[in-house]
Amino acid sequence: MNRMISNIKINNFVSQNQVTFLLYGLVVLLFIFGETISKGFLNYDHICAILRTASFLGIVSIGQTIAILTGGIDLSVGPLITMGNVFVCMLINGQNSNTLWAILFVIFLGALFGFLSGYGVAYLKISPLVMTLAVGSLITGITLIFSKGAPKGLASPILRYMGVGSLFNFFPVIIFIWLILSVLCILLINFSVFGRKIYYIGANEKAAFFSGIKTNFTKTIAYSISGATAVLAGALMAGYTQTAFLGIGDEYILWSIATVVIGGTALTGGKGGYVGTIAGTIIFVLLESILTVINMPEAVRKMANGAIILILISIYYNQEKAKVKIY
Amino acid sequence: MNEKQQNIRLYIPIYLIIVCIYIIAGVIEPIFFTWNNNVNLFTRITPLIFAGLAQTFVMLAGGIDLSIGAIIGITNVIAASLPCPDTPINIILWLFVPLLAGLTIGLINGLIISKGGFPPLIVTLATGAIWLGATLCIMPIPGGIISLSVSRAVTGKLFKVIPSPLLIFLVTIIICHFILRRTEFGRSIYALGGNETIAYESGIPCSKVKIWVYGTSGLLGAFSGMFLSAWMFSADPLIGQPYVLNSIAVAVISGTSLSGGRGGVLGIIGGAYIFYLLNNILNLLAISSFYQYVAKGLILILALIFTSSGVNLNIKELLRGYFFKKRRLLKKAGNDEQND
Amino acid sequence: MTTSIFSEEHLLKISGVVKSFPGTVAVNKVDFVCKKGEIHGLVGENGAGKSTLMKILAGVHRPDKGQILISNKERTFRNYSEARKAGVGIVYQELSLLPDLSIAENIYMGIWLKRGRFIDWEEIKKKSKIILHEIGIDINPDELVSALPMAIRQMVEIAKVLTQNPEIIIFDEPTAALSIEEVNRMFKILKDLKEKGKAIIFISHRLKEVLDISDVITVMKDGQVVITEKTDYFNEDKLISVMVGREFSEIFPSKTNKISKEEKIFSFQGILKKSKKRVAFILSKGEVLGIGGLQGQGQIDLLQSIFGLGGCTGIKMTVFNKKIEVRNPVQAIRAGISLIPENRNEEGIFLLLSILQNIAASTIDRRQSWGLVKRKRERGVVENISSDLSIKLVSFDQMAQSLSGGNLQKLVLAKWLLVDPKVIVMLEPTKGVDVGTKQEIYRLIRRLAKKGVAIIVYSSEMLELVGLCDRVLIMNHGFFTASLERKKITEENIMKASVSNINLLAGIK
Repeated sequence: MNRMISNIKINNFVSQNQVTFLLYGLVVLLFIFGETISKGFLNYDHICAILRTASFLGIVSIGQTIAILTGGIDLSVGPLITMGNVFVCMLINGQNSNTLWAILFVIFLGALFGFLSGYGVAYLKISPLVMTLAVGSLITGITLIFSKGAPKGLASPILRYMGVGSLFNFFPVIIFIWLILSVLCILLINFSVFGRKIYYIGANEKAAFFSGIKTNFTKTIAYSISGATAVLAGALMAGYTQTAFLGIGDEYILWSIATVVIGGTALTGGKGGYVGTIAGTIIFVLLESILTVINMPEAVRKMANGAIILILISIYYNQEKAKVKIY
Repeated sequence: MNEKQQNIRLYIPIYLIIVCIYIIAGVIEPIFFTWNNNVNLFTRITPLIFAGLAQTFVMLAGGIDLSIGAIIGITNVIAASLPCPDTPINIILWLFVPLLAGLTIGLINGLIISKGGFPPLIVTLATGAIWLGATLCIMPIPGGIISLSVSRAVTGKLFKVIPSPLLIFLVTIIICHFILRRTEFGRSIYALGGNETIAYESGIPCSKVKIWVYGTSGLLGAFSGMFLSAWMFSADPLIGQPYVLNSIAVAVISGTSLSGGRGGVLGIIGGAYIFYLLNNILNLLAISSFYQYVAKGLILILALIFTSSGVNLNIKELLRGYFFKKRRLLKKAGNDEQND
Repeated sequence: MTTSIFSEEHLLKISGVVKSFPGTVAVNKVDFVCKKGEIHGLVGENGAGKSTLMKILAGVHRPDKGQILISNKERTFRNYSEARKAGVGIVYQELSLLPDLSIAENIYMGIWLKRGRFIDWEEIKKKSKIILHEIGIDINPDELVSALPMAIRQMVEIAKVLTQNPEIIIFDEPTAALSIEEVNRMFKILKDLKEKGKAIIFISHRLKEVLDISDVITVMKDGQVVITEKTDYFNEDKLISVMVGREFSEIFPSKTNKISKEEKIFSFQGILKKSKKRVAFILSKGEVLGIGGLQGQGQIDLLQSIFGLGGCTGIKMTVFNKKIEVRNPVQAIRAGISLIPENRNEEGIFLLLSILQNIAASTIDRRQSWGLVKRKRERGVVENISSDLSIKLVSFDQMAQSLSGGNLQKLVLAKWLLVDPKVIVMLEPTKGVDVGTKQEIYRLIRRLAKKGVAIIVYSSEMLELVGLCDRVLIMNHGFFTASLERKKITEENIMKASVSNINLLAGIK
């Protein structure tokens, strides 16, 4: 009897996480495929390069995953990244001593704007699409005003180390940072009370409210987190690029949504999670890398990005439609 | 409250605001009142009006079009990449090819959304990326060429007095208003946006309407791209990007609700005007143009607060109540006391 | 029982229609006829099958078996549009109007009159005015529907149906939300339509009205037709006794526990917003209180306000004699109040989440350390309550979606029992639940009442109130009309009180 129960338990675990297993399988497949079309793809250095790129995107996707899990979306991540990038350079100005408080301040700013977005979505019942777009415009403006259109400043050596350096000379710091943040994120989403509430809200906001969950407050915090992680990613990017660039975050809006979609999180919320997004991030970066290796021009790669999203939502959506048959 | 009253309540505030801004601006900076400044403004707002119209159609049906920027870009580029400039063939091609392209792209959007049943946000975000990439393939950096006569006709003055852009957007708005008011297609859009189930039960072909709504959006976006090409005398693949946010903002400010079924095009001029007026004022006052982004965001948020249904019960009623209902409430209180 | 009710002169003949849904047979071999120029009243309890039968006629459902003959021609409908084209119109209680559009446009929705290729608003306005005038209202068709009160909206709905010139018009509970003058106006419309030769089917719970207006009455019970006779044959009492009076099954546990009248465990008073009338009641320990009456009389508003969802003003509540203030569900739970909602799927269940997550939803804050969920503890608690309630499942991680209605209801109950409530408000506790589970739920309710939990049940199934409750308060038009206790709780008494206009609390301050 016990064996039957444990069999059932394993079967359930596998079947519920089928998608995630498949995704990580796809990661491996893509790596192997990359090696076949370009020798050296599986070199340690190359894998690190891919994971480095994935790290920045992955950090942004933490916030996007949480926002989408509540049934919303965050279109302000682009401007937030740029703001983090620009402000951190300005504030640090090359000095190590400034690094910590600059990063903390900038995260605080991100959380503040996220809070604004969340407030509008939750308490004022404004559609997340437009609210985050509007706040994004606000952020763009503020970034431009404070940088006077020409971002100054420099990343400090510590920040450079975080963006480009490697621990013990072989494990890139940024990947390590992503790892830690991923663990924290998974702890938050899958193991904490707050994370549970996010799922309840995404699955059925009305029922969540009727069950006594503070839906408005939780949603607001969710968007604050999204704001904070996006800005953090932008700040870390400064470590990579040394100086700030306006518009550095623009493409991340589409990319972060792509990683969440690929990772299997439902756009309506309540299903999925960051574990899938991690795979989605790596798959996305891998695809980009493979496309670059076969010399696909950037413009065509952009088209491929859009196509990937369309293909994936049609796959996932059909599954969802087949499942959600009420009565 | 009948339809006319609803329209009045919606549009008068917008135009009142414009008049106020106008007067304030003119007082601060008299240059503002010159004819030249205004003609310039007409040209500037025309592409935004077209984009706003496009977004209005889609939003009325309960959807959204985030690919409008890419559509404007690709039609812009196509318009400036046509062969044999300064010949009649070029002019004819300029008139039809971009329009056809915009219409087709829009119809594809509509097909994916209606047949697939996917959320319009993601679909148009993705197709926007696809078409943007395609645009960059066709023309990676700004360039291209437009027939001189086209450029002059579109941005010049008709009969030496009436600015062409004014005529162009006025006619387009009138036609759009007519379509929305007097055709089955137009009314189906309102029904669809109001409640899809009820629309379906009333025999309205919802799939078809959806497809053509996005087609219309593509078409109007093409107008925008074409106008921009004639105005700039060349093309820029990224020219359409700001119009994504701007078109949504204009549509919302003009009174169209995101959830669909409510709104119209009569306020579009107002919405677009507010946008550019602010920009214009900032320029004249020598304030950095960066503030426009902040202004844009704040105005949009304010407009959303006032049109959002969730806030209807709180802030709006509070304000209205304060101004109009105070008298009525006092009367009512008197009646209640009598009854008890 | 009438023998063959079919004859050549019947415009509408429904014969041998059967319709099942998972778990029940809603319509079981029903024959039904209607003549031209006749008003045919259709009565029966909730779940008797009247709505389903009419929906089949209107093309909304497709029958499993049976025939529909209109003017002696057999018809099948794939949707309402087809039924409309065949001359059938239905006016529901939930209206199908778009509030942001004008009256005229709503009336002509989908059939816009045209001049050439373009819509002719002048013509639409003119024709709407005519139709509205014909049914006795003269309002400007340019007005937006959102500005209209419910009663007028219903008229607009009728006008909408009349545009297609239907031969058969079904009215499903048209007077439920209307005042007496509005009902009279509605009746005038029905009589006019009858004179024009339409076949009218009138579904209602208001027996007096049915007796007033119809020529023939059919009574349905448990999916079958009990009797069809000319209206003269019936009076209110006779109707009631035909509608109800089934064998009292064993599914209800006996109400043997003692009620300690001295121990008042819950009291409520407030003013219902919709009716502006005062409502108040007190619960004693061990008592199961039922709220009954026709649907939509304010019962749900009242009970939801206990949970902090609004509906009443000036609320004063006490739990075990302690005053409490509840303005939202969070405060309600803190005060020890739980609500089993009416619409399980929209308000109570997370279909896409697991059984475990569903049951844990209202008490997650209680099982945490440092913000992290105590999973083991959670599983233990959930497993215990599940086995207490005998929820049939394969694994706690399976999606809630996969459960049957009865088990889903148990999920909701489990969720709320974990809160350890002092007051449980149940709205339609056995809606969509199979008989076996119903029994279990009734026993659970008894057990809880015995333990000293205040239980308030709202049900539109009279039998349920009869079998389950120690006291029943009937509500009509937003105020209590009767308080029935012990042996006085019978379906007949409930029915009578449901249509009574006496305010129990009138004059009490």
